[in-house]
Amino acid sequence: MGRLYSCLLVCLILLSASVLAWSAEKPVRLRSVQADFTQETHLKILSRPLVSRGIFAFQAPQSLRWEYSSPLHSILFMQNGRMEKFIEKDGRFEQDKGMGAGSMQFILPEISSWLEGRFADNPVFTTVRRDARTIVLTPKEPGLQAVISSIELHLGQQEGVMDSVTIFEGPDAFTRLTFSNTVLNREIPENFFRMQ
Amino acid sequence: MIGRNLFFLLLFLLASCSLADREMLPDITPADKPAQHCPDYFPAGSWQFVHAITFHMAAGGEGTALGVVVLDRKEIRCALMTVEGLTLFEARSTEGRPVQVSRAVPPFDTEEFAAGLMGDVRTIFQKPQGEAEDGRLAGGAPVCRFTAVGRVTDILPQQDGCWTMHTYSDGIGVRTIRARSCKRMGTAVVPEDIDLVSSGQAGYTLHMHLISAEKLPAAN
Repeated sequence: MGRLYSCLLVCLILLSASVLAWSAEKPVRLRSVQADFTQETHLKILSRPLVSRGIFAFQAPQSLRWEYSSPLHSILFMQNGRMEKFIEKDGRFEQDKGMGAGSMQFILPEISSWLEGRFADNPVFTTVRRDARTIVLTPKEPGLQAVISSIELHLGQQEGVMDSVTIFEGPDAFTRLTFSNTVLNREIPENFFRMQ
Repeated sequence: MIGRNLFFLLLFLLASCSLADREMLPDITPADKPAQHCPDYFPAGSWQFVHAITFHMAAGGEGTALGVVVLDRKEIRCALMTVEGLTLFEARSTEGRPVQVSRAVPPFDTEEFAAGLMGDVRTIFQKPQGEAEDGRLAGGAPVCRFTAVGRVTDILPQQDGCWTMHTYSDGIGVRTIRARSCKRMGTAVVPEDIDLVSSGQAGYTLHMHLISAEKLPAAN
């Protein structure tokens, strides 16, 4: 479970990084991307969707910050192949030791092709372009299919900007990430990608 | 023969140690006024609660997840999600019926986990089953005891309006739950923090920090 979960998490994060910089016509050469996001989780049992908010930053070649500000303040950092996750408890950040970083070695080699928009080369997902602005990814591995049935990427009107990613977990269960305030290719200080 | 005896001796010692760690059901002195009623700490009506849950397993392992509990009359629905929103476990339970699991990924895909989780949720959010009795512990602390077949639940009101709960199975402590920083929402007492300690070798502790508590319309 730990490996699958870690793999999945990293897939989703890197996928988001990739698609934020995706262009409908041609891949955008990505040096960095920053965006705010709102995440809505819908489950059949929920009377109200669970809403999370946060920020996202990626800088080539392998620096990542994926931060949830609410409902639970947590930050996932990735730098030079090393992944760390921190969760705020009682006003202090504590490292989440349950995070298996071993699977990073499995997925990191894929990052370059993803960031260049080569989804078809992806060993994890089968990719279908449904229309000009929608890409549908389906997991290849049965183990991953049990967790995610498909992922839909919706490209924005503005070139190089992704509107949303919807992760379908099964019937009546999906999570939608909607991105806003996306900034491409602005230099980000390296210390932004590690815990201060 | 010696080896066999040693094995049983070790087994006995292990069992003794295991039981020694457990809290035994204490005697209570019944209250003078039997008409007194136990405080009602449990939310009535339909609610949706979201908690950040930190868990530690006695056998090793820990983690943080988001927990959602929906109370809807006699039905309880709950989900366990990663901080990133992936669903690890989703189930519903109606009193007297088997737990219906609609989603469970390993290692949360066992019947024992589903039953245990739903048991914890019911213990925390629903009034215990059984006959209620007011009383006092040996030290004088007030206690409200619910007695059902094979199971006893003691609720100890705290001065700050919160509560501590002990559950016993066949006279042996199985869970201790402490509610802290309680606030009143309508008629319900909603704790900001809940600590649950499940005893035994397969024990675990849960710390639940309230993220949101929402009263739902009656139609839900």
